[in-house]
Amino acid sequence: MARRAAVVGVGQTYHRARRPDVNIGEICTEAVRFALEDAGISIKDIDAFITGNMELFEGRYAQDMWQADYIGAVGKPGIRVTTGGTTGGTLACVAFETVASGIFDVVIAVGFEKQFEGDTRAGLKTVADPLWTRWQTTGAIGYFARQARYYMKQTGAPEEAGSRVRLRLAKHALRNPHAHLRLQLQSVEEVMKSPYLIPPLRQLDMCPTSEGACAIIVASEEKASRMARKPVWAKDWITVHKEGVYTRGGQHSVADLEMAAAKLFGRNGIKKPMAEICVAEIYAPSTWAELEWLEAYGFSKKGQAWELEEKGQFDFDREFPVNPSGGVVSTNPIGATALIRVAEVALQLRGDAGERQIVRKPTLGFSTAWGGSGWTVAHLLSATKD
Amino acid sequence: MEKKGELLGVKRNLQVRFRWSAGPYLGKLLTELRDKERLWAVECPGCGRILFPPRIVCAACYTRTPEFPEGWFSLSGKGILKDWEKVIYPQMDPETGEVRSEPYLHGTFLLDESIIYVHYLGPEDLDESQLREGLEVEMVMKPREQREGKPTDIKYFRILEE
Repeated sequence: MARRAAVVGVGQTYHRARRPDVNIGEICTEAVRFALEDAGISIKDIDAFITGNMELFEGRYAQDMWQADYIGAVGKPGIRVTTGGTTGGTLACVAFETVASGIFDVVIAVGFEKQFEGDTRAGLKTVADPLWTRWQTTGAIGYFARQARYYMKQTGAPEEAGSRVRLRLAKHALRNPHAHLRLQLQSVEEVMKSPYLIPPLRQLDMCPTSEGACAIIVASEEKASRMARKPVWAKDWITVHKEGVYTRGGQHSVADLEMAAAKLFGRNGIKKPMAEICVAEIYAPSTWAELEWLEAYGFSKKGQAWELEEKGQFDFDREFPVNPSGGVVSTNPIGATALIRVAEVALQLRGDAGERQIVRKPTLGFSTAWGGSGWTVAHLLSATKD
Repeated sequence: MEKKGELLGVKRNLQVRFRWSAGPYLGKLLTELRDKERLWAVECPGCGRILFPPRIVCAACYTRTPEFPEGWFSLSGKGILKDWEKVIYPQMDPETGEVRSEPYLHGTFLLDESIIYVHYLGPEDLDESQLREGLEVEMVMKPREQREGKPTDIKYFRILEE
């Protein structure tokens, strides 16, 4: 890496199923203003803009042009990133890369979604090859129902395993003032009263559709040293595709997640991820996916994450808390969702996560993004520069 | 007149026409299915992997694959049931935009050629309680006049009598 890049400011709106009080530009303005305030800088200090959202959700072409006024980008360089579910994760990668490469000194990445304004299901179905597999798509719900069945079959996990994940995430979300769903769930039995979407996947196993935005400011080492907040260093990051699921069809696989973790942890000398990483914000659209993916990333042996969940190992006050924000099943404005993962890890490493600050003093954090069932992005963030 | 506290939202419906080219690989697969009731796969000349549906290059070694019929082989259209799911919530049919209101079964099949394939499991009155992994299945085509050169020219996979 040519230069070090650091997260020096984060901003997040509140998230709801609908935000009719603001239009798309205005919701982005909110996130940008919060991030500038957090970093203690003005829009004049920003060199470039990286923006993103889901390509087809709100039905607007060249969203970056629409947004320019609202995010303060007029007359400045910018790139729009639309990599589906991974958009927010890719936004962070591009921000890190443009600063690390020396092209810009201070950039802002802005992700948003206003899902209610379009048709999420219709947008998602266009992910599949229209001539070969699109007819069989059942959207995210069909995919994650099949994934849940597959996980249960492979591991012998009981049906309550998914509900246990939901209970943890609901408790975490109650500590997060930004979370969309803040559900007062008391027991696994209560979660299991939630209706099936496709068995064994229940409504409470799945992420909501949210409206909201998130922004992070990334700066070079020299600029970061002059800013208000303690910098959180981008240690390393990775993007991995697997063989096209929707051109090929076929068996469930998490090869992209496994490849990403093996490469990222391998080249950073991380041998025991669960011991060496202090906090993880995992982009998992369903409870069952979170279990399977914790295994794919190497945080648990294959087939055992549900047992670790039973022991409370991923709880907020343990050594390896997972999704102290409440995760994607609590909040999901898709184009912002993965950027929220990065922002939340940065807050944890700074010690600024408020009521959701984890008990352990974290030094190394992990955030992920996932999309289109064939693509994953992951970042390592560090409290120290080494 | 503006109502007090009104938050205006505007609704529009859009219809868009698309024309997608299938290309020589997927195109041949779909016309063979429509006209000859056969599915095909191609073997990668570089690494020997089986590509289904046939594609122009292998994702593992990036070797160019030959066009039909060189290196292509036809599938038996039979296999075993690996898994199934019942779709019970109202689901948009991505081909038409209409809501599929009836519950239906999706099967995951391991075909005789070691290929995993997902399709409907039928017929509609299939007794779900009789299903188990390993049951033998075969593909059932739609009547010739209803075929359009689509994967859904296969009506469903049916369980073979034991």
